[in-house]
Amino acid sequence: MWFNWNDFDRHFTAIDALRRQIERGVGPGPGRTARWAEPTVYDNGESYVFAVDVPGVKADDLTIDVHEATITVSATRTPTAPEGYATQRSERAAFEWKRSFTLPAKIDNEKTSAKLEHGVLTVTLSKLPEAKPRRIAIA
Amino acid sequence: MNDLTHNETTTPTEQVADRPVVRPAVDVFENQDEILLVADLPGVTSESLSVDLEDDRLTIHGRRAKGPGDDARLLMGTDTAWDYRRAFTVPDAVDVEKIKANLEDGVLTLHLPRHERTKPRRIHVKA
Repeated sequence: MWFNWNDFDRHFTAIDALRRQIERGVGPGPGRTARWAEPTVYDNGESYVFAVDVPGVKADDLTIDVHEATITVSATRTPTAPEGYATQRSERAAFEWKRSFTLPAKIDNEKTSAKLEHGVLTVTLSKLPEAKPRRIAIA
Repeated sequence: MNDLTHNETTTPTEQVADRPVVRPAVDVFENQDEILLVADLPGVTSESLSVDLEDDRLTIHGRRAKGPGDDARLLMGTDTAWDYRRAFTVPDAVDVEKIKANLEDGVLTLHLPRHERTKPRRIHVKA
């Protein structure tokens, strides 16, 4: 049967991937000013590692919520001119950012840890035992 | 006089390594005592950051490391590490000996104090 939702999904996924590639093509490069960065997610078997750039954001201005396989991160920053100074150049944008990401497996809430270092937020999300990869020994 | 805030020297040179170079977002403020430069450099540590002054050319160069390691599989985002680089022309009025830099939470703050002699002053007029 040609009418199959999976076909639709596949096409939309392909469009998304293409869009991301185009954005990447016009992303970081010589003569371009850095934008609010795209987060990265790694899978290292035991856990997922989520990282996003949050320069100038204090821990108080960050929230991380984990529910089952979904992580929701919000960050706010409002750079202001210091008192008594005139602004000559203002490129560092203020942001109020909130996004949710669904990971491929459920997360163990108890073993989630986050750190904020050099303006990068890194969240390590442990997979629930049933989602961890295992090798089956052949008897 | 105020080159730092108006003219900017860009680097027309190309990189040898296949490592993207990004211009960091920068704020510049000034008052009577100093020029204040604030740059977003997330992921850059004080070891991987260099601020160089050659003649009147101030270059900020920060390197950031790649992701968590080779055995990790990337699910989302980009895997490339990149460099931050941006150059400015420092006006003569800045006392280059007294430039101070501070890196905190991925944000670089550069204090460029003006020379004592170039600070504006008011002359009292005697009656």
